[in-house]
Amino acid sequence: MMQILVVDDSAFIRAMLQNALEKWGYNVTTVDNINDALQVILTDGIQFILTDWVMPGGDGPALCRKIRELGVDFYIYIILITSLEGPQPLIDGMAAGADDFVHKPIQMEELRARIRAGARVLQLERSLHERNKKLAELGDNLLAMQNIIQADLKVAERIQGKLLPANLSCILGVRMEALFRPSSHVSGDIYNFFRLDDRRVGFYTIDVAGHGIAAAMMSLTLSQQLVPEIRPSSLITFGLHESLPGFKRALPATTVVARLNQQYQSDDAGTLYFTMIYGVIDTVTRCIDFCQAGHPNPIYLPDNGAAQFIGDGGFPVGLTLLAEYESVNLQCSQGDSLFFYSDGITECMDENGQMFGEEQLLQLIEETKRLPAENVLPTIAKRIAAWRGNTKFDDDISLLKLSFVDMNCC
Amino acid sequence: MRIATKQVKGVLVLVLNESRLDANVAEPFKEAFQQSLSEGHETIAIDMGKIGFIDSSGLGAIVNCLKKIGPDGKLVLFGITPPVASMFKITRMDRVFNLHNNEEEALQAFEI
Repeated sequence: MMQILVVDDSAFIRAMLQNALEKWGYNVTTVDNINDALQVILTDGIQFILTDWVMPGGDGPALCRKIRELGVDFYIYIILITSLEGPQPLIDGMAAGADDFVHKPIQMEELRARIRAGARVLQLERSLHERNKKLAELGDNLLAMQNIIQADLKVAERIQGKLLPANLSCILGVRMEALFRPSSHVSGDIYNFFRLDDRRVGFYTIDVAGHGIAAAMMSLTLSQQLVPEIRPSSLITFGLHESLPGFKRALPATTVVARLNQQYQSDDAGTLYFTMIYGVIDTVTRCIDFCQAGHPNPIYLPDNGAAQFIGDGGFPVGLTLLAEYESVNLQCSQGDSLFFYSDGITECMDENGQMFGEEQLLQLIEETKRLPAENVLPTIAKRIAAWRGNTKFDDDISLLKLSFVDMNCC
Repeated sequence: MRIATKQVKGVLVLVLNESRLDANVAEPFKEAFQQSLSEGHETIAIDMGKIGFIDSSGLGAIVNCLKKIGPDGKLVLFGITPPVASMFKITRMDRVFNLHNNEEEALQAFEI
C-alpha cells in the first residue's frame, strides 16, 4: 500500500484529498506546512508527495527544493497543485524539483491517473535501487574474492620461482645464464639446466601455449618430469648408466620430446600444448644435440664468427601424434654461445604494435659480443623493456644463454 | 570474433574478419567452427587473408578445427599472410594443413 503525504494549509482541501485518496486505496498522512512535511518525510520515509503551491511559511516550490536537498538514497515523487496560469509556473515548479502538476479546481480522475503514473515511476525506481544494492554486494564479494586469488597467486609465484634454476650456473665448463620476465604472477615459460652424468649436461626451455594459471600448472608438471634424478616419473633418463654408479642413462633429445608428445595428447586438441627445446651437451667434445619442437630458432654466436639462426622449426608438443622429431647437432668451440628464447621476446610489441622481431634480436646479440659476459643479458633485457615502453609484458619472456667456457672455470 | 560465412559449390567458406587470431578470439573461433560442424558442414574452407598475426592459442584453435572435422570431412585454409606462414613453418603446421593461395584454388581442392 503506497503512502501519500498531502501538504495543504486548507483543512477543507486536506480532508477532501484524504477522503478520495483513501477511497483509492492509499495510506494518507496530512500536514499543513512544509516544515512538518519534511519532518514526516524523514521519519516515515514517504516517497509520494501531493503539495499545494501557495502556503504561509514556505510554498510548494520551496518544499520541492528542500526535498531535493535532503540527499536521501530513495526517490521522492512530487505533484504540485497549482491555480497559477501560463507556462512560467510550470517551468519554475519543474526547476524547483516537481515531477508533475495538477491544476485547480482539481479534476479527481485526472489526479488519480497522475498518481498512478507517479507510482509506476517509483516502482521502477525501487526495482533499480534493489538491483543496484545487489550489484554493490556482488562487487564487494568479487573484490574480496580477488584479494584471495591475488594472495594465492603470490604464493604460486614463489613456488614457481623456486623451481627455476639460479640465473647463473656453471656445470662442466658450460655456463648458463637466464633472463625471465613472467607476464603475470605465474608463468607458462620454464627452463632448466642440469648435470646428466660425468660428461653430459641437459637443458630445456618450454613455452606452454597461453599464459597464466592453466599454463603455469602444466609447466609445473613438466618440470617434475624433466629431472635427471632417479625416479620413475623422469622422462629424460632410462635405465642405469653403463659405468657410473648413481647415474641413469640419459636419453637422446628427440626421444625425450617424442615421449612427451605421446604423453600430452589431449582430447580437446590444441587447448593445452607447448613448444620447447630439449638438448644434451657433451662437455668433453663440446657437441650439442638438441630437438626443436615449435620453439623459435635459436641463435648461435660463435667466438670467431657472426650471430646466426640455427634449426629449422619442428612440431610443438601435444598438437599431433603424427609429429616426427629431428635433432640438430652442432659442434661448438670454447667461447661460443647459444641463445634460446621464447616468442614473448620476438613478438613483444611497442606502442605502435610493431613486433621486436627475430632480425632485431639477432642483431642485438651480435652487438653484445664486445660486452663483458655479465653485461650481455642485462643489455638485452634493457633493450626489450625500452622497445615495450614499460615493464608490463603481454606474454612470458624467457631467454637462456649457454656458453662454453674454460673447463677449469666450473 | 567476426566471421562471415558463405557457401560456394557446396563448400562452407568461413571468412575471418579479424586482424589477429590470438588468445582473445581463440575460444569464440573454436565455438563458431563447432557450430558449423553441428549444422552438418563437412567441407570447410577458411579465409585467413585478414589475419596478420597468430599466437600459440590461435594456432591451437585452428589445429582443434582440423581434429574436430575428422576423417570424413575436409578442411582447407587459404590466403595465409607472411607472419602466419612463418608461424606455420616453424611449427611444421604447413605440413599438416591443406594450404592454398586463394579462394579459387582452395575450392578446386574440393573437386578432386
